[in-house]
Amino acid sequence: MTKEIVKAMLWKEWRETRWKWLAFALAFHIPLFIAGLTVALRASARFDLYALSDSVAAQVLEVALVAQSVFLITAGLFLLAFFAVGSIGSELDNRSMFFLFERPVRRWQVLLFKYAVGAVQTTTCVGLSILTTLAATYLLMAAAATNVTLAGSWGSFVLIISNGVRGTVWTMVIALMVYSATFLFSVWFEKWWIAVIAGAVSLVGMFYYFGGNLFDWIISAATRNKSGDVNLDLYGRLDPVPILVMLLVSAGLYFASQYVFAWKEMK
Amino acid sequence: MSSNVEYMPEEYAIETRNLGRKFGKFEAVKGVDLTVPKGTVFGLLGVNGAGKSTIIKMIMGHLRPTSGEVRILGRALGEDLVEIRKRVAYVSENRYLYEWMTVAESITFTRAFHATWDDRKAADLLKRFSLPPEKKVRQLSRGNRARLCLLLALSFNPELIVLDEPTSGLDPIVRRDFIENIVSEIAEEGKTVLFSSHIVEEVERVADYVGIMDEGELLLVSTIDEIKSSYKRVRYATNGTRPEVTGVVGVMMVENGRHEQVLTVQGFGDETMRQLGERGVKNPEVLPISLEDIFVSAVRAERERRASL
Repeated sequence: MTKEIVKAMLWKEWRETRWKWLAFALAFHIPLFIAGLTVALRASARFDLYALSDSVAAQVLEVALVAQSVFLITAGLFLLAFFAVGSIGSELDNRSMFFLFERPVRRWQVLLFKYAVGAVQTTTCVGLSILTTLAATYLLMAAAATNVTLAGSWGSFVLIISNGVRGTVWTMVIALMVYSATFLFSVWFEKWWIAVIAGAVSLVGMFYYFGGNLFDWIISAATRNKSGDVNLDLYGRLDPVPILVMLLVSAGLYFASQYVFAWKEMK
Repeated sequence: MSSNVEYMPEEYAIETRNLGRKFGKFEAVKGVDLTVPKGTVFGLLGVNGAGKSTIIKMIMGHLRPTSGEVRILGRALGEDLVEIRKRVAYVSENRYLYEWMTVAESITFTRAFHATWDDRKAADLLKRFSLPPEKKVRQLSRGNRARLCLLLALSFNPELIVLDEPTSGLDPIVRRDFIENIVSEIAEEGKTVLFSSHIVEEVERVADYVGIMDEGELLLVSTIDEIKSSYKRVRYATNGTRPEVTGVVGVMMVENGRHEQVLTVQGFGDETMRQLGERGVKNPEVLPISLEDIFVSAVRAERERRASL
């Protein structure tokens, strides 16, 4: 693959997915939008916000982190499955992919490119949504609450965002695995709706095998310690074994996609 | 396959040997041996479903043969498909393009894939085809889509151009321009063209060689001139009694009129006339034959042969 081909393919991917990417990024902030709407529409919520202080701001940030994480590994992953199907399924479904097959470029390179671009798009959207949610919550409190200041709640914000960063790693790895599974199905079945169903089934399967641990982490994160704060220690611990397993599963799913793609014919 | 032509063996752009393809139990292509000499225009003629597109897709590496082999420009297809695609242009029947791109974007995008891209040629073709650069592909007419595909195929100076039903869906004016002008010009540049069509007139107008296909088999391959000199129609009055001519050498088809019979004969010559005379045929008139007559005769004769098995 020459530099010109890479540039051309990147340009094509960007043009094809830029609005979808934006919509996807926004969709991953649904909890934040719901919170924002609540504050905007309910006077009591506004009153609570105005009454916040620096010490309570830490708890609000913790709740924001937990709420966003729960959203991501439940509804968020189903959203991701839809996005992943679109990353190649539509091009196979409407057969525009065959335009590339007619060019002097290897099939596995085309698929690797599509996979890599889609994986970067999905995992960054998923992972960064935790950090942006925390940052937005922090700024909103500092702007609206009478007794919350940027400097005063900075320590709490740094503590929780550091847990958020580790949570980002977790959710990105989980997202990569779900993306890879859905990608395989969309290469396999071509029709996007079949791939969505298959992706959803794989998602349920993933929860069956990994779900217990995932919810443990979240529940532990929401467990209050003796001082009355939320205990984020377990949530923020980067356990290498499940992360490695999920990365290996993702790699396996990717190579399975390559295998299926190599046998695909232009009927 | 029956071939009436002695090819120069070292000068093939495309060679297939015993090429076959099955879809489940259905045999779409049956052991086809096809050779396309370099620098010629080869028309693959057959009704819809004859197996033309399947052969072309196998030649282009988009379908895997269930039997046989393909060589393109001297290379086995399995050797290096990317190297082959650098030298071969393919325009599929469905004319795959990215609908959201503009004409100009399609050209720029495709340019990146070909080191041999000729900007001047692309600009010339854009002007000649009157393609609007800012218009999106989804807004183009069928004719303009076909022209854009051809522009993309020709602008990197391929040695071999494979066109699958290039005129399907086009109006007669565009179709004639496509066949008479464009394909002829490509051929004049010394490039090899393989194109498929179910329209006999198109093949007759522009092809040097014709291959007639039916039900997955290549029935006949030859030059247009040789076919026409080899095949004749013979007409004679029957005067109430029809002579039995089915055993006459080369008779492919018998058409019965009220007062006459018309035979289509392959390999027409003195022997044909002698055998007809022995069967009581008097004053036979030898008529010129069109490619369409030959096509219909070849297909009917083959179908009758299959039915009799």
